[in-house]
Amino acid sequence: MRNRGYILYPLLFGLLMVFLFSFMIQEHFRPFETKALNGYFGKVKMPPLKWEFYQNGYFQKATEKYVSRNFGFREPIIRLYNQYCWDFYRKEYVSYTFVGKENWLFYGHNVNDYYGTEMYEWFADKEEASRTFDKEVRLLDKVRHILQQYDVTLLTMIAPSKSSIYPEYLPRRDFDTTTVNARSYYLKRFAENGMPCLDMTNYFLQMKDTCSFYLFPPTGDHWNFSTVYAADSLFHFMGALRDIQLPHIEYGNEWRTTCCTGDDKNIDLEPDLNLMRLIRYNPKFNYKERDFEVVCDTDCTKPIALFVGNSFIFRIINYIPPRQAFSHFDFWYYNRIAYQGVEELMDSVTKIDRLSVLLDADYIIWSSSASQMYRATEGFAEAAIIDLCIGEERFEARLKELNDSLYHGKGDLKNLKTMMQKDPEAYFPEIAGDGIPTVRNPLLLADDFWTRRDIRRQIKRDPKWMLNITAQLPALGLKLQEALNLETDNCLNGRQLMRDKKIGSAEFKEMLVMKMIQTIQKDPNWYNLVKKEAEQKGISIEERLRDHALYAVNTQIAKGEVKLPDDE
Amino acid sequence: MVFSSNVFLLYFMPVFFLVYFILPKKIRNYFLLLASLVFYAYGAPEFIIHLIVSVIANFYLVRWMNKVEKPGLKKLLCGISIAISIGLLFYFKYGNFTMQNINAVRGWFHAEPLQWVKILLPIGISFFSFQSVTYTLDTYRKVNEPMKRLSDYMLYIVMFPQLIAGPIVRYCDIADQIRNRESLYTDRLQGFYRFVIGLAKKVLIADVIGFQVDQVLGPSNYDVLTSAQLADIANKIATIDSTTAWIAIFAFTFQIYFDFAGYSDMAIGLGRMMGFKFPENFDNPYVSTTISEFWRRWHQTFSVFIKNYLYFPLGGSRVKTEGRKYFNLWFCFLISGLWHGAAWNFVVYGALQGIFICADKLFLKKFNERLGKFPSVFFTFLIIVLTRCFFRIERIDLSWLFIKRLFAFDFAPFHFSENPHLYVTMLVAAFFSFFTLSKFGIKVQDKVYFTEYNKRQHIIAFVVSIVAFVFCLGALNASGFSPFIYFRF
Repeated sequence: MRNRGYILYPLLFGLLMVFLFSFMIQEHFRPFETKALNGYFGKVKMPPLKWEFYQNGYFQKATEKYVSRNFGFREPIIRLYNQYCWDFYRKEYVSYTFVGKENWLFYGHNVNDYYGTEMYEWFADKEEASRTFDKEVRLLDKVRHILQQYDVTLLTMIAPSKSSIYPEYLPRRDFDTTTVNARSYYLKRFAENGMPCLDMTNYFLQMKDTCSFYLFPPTGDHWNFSTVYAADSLFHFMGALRDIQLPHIEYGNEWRTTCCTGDDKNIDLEPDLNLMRLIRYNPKFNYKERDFEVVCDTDCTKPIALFVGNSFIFRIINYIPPRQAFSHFDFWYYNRIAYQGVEELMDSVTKIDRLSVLLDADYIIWSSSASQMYRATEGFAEAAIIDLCIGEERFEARLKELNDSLYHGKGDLKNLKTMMQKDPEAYFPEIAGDGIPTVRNPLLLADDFWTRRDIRRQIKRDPKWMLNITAQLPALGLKLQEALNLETDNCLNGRQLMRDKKIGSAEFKEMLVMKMIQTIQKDPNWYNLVKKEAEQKGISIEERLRDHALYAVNTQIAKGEVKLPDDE
Repeated sequence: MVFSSNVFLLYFMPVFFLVYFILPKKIRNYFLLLASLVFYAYGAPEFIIHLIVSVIANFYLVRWMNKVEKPGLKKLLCGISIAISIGLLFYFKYGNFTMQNINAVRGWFHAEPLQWVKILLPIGISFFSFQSVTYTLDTYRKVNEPMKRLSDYMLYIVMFPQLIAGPIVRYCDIADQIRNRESLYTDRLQGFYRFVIGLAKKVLIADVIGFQVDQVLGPSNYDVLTSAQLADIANKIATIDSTTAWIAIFAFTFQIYFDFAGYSDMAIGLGRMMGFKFPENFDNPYVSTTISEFWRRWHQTFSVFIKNYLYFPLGGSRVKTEGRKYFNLWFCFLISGLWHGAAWNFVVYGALQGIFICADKLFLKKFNERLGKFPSVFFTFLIIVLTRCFFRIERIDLSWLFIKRLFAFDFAPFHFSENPHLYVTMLVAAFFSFFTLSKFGIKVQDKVYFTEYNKRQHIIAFVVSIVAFVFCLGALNASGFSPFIYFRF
């Protein structure tokens, strides 16, 4: 018999079976730790095996998708294939990341914006785009004028587009000159309306030739250390608008090269390529960081600021902790998630008292970037004008009225509400037209509204007062705005203030732990690890979550990243 | 289920082979039959009953046919058996097409269209119908005795490696193997290597090229498109530059070969792992010097089927007139064109192939001989490429428009850097397509496919196969998922 009895062939066949089963074993028991893939993949659940699903093919399709997302060793296998495609063809499988010359990576929408095709992602034609942009600028300008009446300065900042600053590294494409470019259009209309605007693309283009390092990382879409220069300019611009002195930045002499290492926080596009190793770059693309300090002299004021914008603002926060520049800082990320106060408590923008945040601020900085301006103001201008001029009661009454007249009370209220929120001028004639509306939200006319606003501003300008209130939130079970209102009531009614309550280090630490638990819960990788460990140790997830949070907070304290209040 | 799916590669295949090889030999066929039914039922649950009922009916009809002595009754039973197989094929595959055409003709006379519920095509119906026909006819012609056990016959028809897209295994070629076969460790290993070669052809070559072909010509099946999408494709084709058009049609020519040959390799490999020796389906078709040679090398089991079960019954070349001989040839290709799909473009494709085959017999073959080997390979390949337009673009007007764009000489500049993955893959595809033009190529091919490996070669092939398997999994999951082109035929 041919080959029978020879050990090599059974051995190889045995190895083959082990190999074929290894994917299943890894999927179900995870004996080997693998580095998770980056990027958003969407959740895929194993479909239920129902006759109907099986018969119409849904079960098979969903199962294939589930297996594709979950099979063992998926992560290293995909990284290996991606690396092959990258090394041989400079090809990547990430939606909306384009590879330019010399391995520069670009965010797809920015590339489209530069070449003039981004408009078609959002609008059918030039007319529709111009009409939308005109409406947005008109609304934003109305909001600005109204806020100005209440001592709030609204300004705009357009973050720089990497594609416009370094077009020489873009992938080759044809220009479409027949479209409307959002940034140029907004800039023109802002200038016509006298709207204060800081266009960072222009500023960066001026800096590009004189700066000794690249203003953008080749592997990232956001500004790198150039953020600090941009923030410095922003602070000066804001100060000039109100004729006050704001904190400024003083630079040290020591330079460090930070480009493209594994822990470089600027490489935000490259991780999504899911390669096995970092991309190698020409050293000429290295960028640098230097020592700097945010200085607030005796004449300087730290204002209350509300930023409405995108991830570029996160970069500012990463480099310059908000408390160094602002007495209180709110950030509405894409006008959807509200980071409240210096401690960055998160909530949905629709769930907070927006009117208070708008009117408490000294400055509102509406910010966007070239490619995201096609999405207009992300609903900020519309929501703000409703908050300032209409108010919730009148809005609801109009909603009911429209539902009754148009749909005999049986319409889809959610849909109708969305339509009204998207185009308030069409549903509230009192705010339509080119003039500044005189109508106001009835809340603004209440007797104590402005007294309360002044007290809140006073609290927000006092970091210690804010810190004391924030530290008491877990114990009181209150959200920040609720606590601020309570403290305002305390002030008005002569009750004991939260400010005066001594916060011990234990209480403060507990607050930090609670916050850390929230952070872990929002990080799927971290949370999964906690779940797995809880299972292994036979304890509840909550217990393990607390262990992790406590460890993380203790580490922060040990590293000096967080300082506990003195107990004496 | 598709061979290049995660469910097959990561679940079905490992579990199947583990259980199959653990089981005693006596019951392996039962397990293989069960697994094959699961395999088919997983992908086409609504048709599994049709399949089983038609297989059972055919089994008993053929057994009865074999027992009866009266030639008339024998012929009748044979006819009924074939009618069941071909009737089902006609109903499922050509029902929609027939009704569309009837309604189109009625439309010319302003008559109301006939109401008709669109029929879904069971996957693999062409292949298992043909295998049923070979069983009936081989038994009728006394080439082989009929199967004694229903389970054996069922296994012949539904065996999962070749159930969906062939190779079309003639009953006489496999009857003995069903009853008695041996699967040595070397067969299991070399079967796996062959499977991985097929998987790589499909995933690393055909799918990469196919993605780009779809970008230019739209999806391969126009039935699923809306009129707006069709209009968009028509507009694309009307404005396409000649460079892109030539790249697209060359790409499709390679895609369809590597897609189908890849599937055949996988089927042959899986069969070999179990000890079956399925017939080869491709023999480097693109190195053919004539169209006749091309059809001897392309989808060989189908060509053999057409020859044995259609061309010969029509009289073949032993007919009274030359005209009849050419008609027989042309008609066989017309039918084979129609077999590829129920649409007029496939009829045109088949008719064109038939015309070229007749031209071969008349003058083209001599012309090619005068040209010499390499020019005639190029010339034949060019004919194949051009006729592929009617194969790929499922509307004759658009196919014609596309051919016009090919010869519009409206060439746009070619930039390799725009899609290096496509161009490198096309070069690799071209290399392997024409590799056997050299003696060295033939030697390497024989070594890889058709000889027993020694110990060292096994170790190398094992490592290469494992790495290639991992790469294919990566490609499959990084870039999405694509079914085989030949499934719908």
